[in-house]
Amino acid sequence: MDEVPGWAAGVDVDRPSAARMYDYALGGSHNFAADREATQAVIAAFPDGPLVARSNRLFLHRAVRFLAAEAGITQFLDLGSGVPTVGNVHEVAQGINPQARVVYVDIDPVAVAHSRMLLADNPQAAVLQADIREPACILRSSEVTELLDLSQPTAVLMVTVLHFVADGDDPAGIIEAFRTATAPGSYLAISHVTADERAEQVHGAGKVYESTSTGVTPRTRTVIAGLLAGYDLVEPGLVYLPSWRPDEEHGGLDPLAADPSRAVALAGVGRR
Amino acid sequence: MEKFLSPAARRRGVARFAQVWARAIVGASYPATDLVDVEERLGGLTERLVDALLAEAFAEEPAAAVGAAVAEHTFAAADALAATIRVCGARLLTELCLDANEELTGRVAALQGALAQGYTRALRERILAGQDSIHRAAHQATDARFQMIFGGAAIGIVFADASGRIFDANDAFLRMLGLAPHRVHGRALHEFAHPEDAAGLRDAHNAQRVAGPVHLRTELRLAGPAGVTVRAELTTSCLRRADGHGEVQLSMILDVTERHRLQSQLRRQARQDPLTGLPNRTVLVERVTELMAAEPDRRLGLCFIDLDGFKAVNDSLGHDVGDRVLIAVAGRLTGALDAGQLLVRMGGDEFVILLAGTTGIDDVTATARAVLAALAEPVRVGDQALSIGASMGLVERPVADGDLADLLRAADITLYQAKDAGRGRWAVFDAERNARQVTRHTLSTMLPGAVEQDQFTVVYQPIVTLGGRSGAGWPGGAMVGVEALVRWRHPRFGVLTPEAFIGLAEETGQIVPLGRRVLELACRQAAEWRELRPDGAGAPYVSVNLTARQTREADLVDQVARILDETGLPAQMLQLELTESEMMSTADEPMRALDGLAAMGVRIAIDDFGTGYSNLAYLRRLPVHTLKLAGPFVDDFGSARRHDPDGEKIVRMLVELAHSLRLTVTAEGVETADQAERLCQVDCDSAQGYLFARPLPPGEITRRLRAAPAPAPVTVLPGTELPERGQSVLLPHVLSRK
Ligand SMILES: C[S@@+](CC[C@H](N)C(=O)[O-])C[C@H]1O[C@@H](n2cnc3c(N)ncnc32)[C@H](O)[C@@H]1O
Repeated sequence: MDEVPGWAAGVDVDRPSAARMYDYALGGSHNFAADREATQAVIAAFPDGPLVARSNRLFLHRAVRFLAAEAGITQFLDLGSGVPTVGNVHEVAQGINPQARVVYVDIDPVAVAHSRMLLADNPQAAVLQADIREPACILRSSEVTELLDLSQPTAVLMVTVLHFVADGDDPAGIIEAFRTATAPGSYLAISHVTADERAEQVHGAGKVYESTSTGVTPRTRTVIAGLLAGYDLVEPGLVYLPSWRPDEEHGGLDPLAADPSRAVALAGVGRR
Repeated sequence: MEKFLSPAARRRGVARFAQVWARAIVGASYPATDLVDVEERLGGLTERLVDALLAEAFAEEPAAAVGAAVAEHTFAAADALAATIRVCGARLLTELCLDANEELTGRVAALQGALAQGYTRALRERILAGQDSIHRAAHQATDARFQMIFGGAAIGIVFADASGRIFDANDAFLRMLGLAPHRVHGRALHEFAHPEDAAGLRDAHNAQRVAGPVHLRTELRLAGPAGVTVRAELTTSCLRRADGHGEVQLSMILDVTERHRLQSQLRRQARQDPLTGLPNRTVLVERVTELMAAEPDRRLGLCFIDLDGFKAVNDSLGHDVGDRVLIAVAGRLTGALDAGQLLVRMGGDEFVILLAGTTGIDDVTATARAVLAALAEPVRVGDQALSIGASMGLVERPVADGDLADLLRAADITLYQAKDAGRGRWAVFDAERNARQVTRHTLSTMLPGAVEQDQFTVVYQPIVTLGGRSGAGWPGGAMVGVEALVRWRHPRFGVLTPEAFIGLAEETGQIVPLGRRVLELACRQAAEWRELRPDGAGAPYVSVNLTARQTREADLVDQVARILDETGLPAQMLQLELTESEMMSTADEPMRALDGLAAMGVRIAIDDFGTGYSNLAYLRRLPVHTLKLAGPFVDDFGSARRHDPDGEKIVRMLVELAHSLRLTVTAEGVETADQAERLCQVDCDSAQGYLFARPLPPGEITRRLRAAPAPAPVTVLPGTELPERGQSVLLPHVLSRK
């Protein structure tokens, strides 16, 4: 495909998107010039960016592995799922339990279209374009109601997405809505950018995101812990990404393992 | 050869190397594969590397496949290649416990090169595939957005290819025409147009694909297979690629049927009386305006109908009954119409019938009679029988004789005259009577504006010879001149004759510009008529009235000279008329003006001769060429039965006197053949009057000139030699019945 149709120009492709910037930071090629440019700008302000992205992705894998293998979860609702790259949630989960079902949700139309292409032949995965700030829409969508049975334990994933939700959009209310919609024994996994340490770098990187469709709101450990109030955190609680159940055998070495606070994001998994 | 390894040593070496390699790679990339897994896969790859390394005949190509496999397993993570190259260089020979001799290090280097090449190729493929897939996703995302618009739009959307064939049409379009998708694909949009609009649309679309414009907008009718017709607003855009190929025609179709229906209903309502369903006043205005534009030379008639006693019905029996009476009357009147007649309801109990192409008032009175007949039977409403009569005002006139307002005013005035005279009758419009009702004051205030706005026209009454009578009767006398008579086409009062306003014009001084204007018009017209004759032979002269006031204008002579010059009319073809009394009241100065005019060759005539205090003596002093005998003399000729011998004697004497002074004589107001006969017997030269012709519009004179046979030579005064000045002729003029 060598030309972008007229009605696409200036809509998606010319504007950097968090989803595709993340893909580029992970070494993927599912991105456009505008995304690469913006990512380079993030890296200039925050050279650890690609490492943090990798660290985050490794956490996601460990968390899904934990949920599928140890907590026995078979249903996943991945909010802010991004552009599918390698080792997606359904691959990891279905690798452990072929019965696992996953609904991906993202606000980015290109990320969603890409996910749909990838999942066209997978009856146990569905994709929904929606805004995490509208939990009711997501919960009532046919993708969710047809593929997931929310009366059974479900894992809700909010990995590197909540810091794209501003305080005014009530992140606590969003988590509460998903919590009450899921059955007891359900889980929530989150990772969230914090500026508790390395504040200057984090804010510098955050500036770049102002040009994208989504701004970044780093939060303090206390605030993030407060967001998880309705959940019992599993070991080791709320920690920097590389420190959440490191597992060199599965998924490999976290590049920031030696100095976890460089990952500037806290991760945690809680049980309802 | 020292490349030999025992199978066991080789197995151990391969396992050790795979482990080192796996750690190097996993550390350098993020894939979430199990380290154990990676080790296993790299073990297989290591076997292939070692095979190549130790082969009898060395070839590095297999390493390229290994590179590609590494790219595959590590998902082309950024640092995996570097780690692999590094590990191969540093550890391959060592872990296999081989000596790093020159040949082996050379082979390792070659393998590293091939590995990098294979890896890079695979990486490139991966990146290209990734780009492909993200572009496709972007396309799909926007396409999804487009599909939402396309599918959900209320407006019909149709895509056609470079040859105009439809390849996609949305639901809205299919629903609009009740079409199934397969009936649309491959066909052209014009095939769904109404037969009358199809060719136009086809041509416009074809032209657009070749030469533009980019956007085409039109309104047309579309037709569905089930016979639905849809009024549609169509916008077609032609999309072209930069190379000019692969155009797409995008048509958007808005169903405006309902809007149209409402509009035409409104239009109909605006033109229709809601109670009776008859056309309303608007339609009458349109029709008359149409007639004026299309057939100004024809005539029309109008019958203004007012129901007698309708108000009483309304008041005593209620509006409901009144309405039903009106509906019934409308029906009766419609039944009484002839083809080509238009019946409208003006409002209340007033109706109008318009007749086009009438030949006279008789056509209108026939219609009036039909109306009365139609209403003769009582109208039944419920169990009541109500007698409904009508009074009517009738007008008949040339189409161009004033506008609709004139026509309606005339009809209205006449209607009230009819009502005054009692119910159930009609009255015919009488212009004279109307004019008399117009006050002098109103007219005098309007005169200056009328002169400025050129509301005056001129009609012409023929003057014919008496001497050259043919056996066939009098009306056959040759037309030698015409008298110019002015008309005021008053926008409110209709056409006014000179009696109504010449006196006023004289009093207010407006006669000066008005007179000049009439003179101009008459001269120009006479000059035109002259053109109809070779050398002007036999063309009519024109006789124009002058008032005393005009003769007192200092520059009268110059004015006349200039007009003759401008119009090209020879002076001999112009005659100016003054009445006897005007002539007598003329002081010295004006007399010189008449002398000047006569000297130029213009003829002077005495109008209404014999009505004033005739002083025959002045006839010798004045530069006069013609006497116009006033109507009363002619009247005195009476009929054959009531012959007045004295009157005849006086006329004979006057004619003799005139001839002796070398003047010609024109009799005015000739109405009967008998009068003409006697005038001829007394040697009167020429005559004018209703017997010969009424005043006629210029076009009619032209027509008569064209129809007339080649002109006879100028009629010379009988029995006398040529007069010295103004060598002819029958000079004319009469104020009669102007
Ligand atoms: C950094 S990516 C995270 C992808 C994935 N969850 C991971 O951690 O590997 C953040 C994603 O959140 C999505 N996102 C941002 N704001 C969102 C919102 N309001 N609703 C849903 N998704 C949102 C972005 O489009 C992007 O794909």
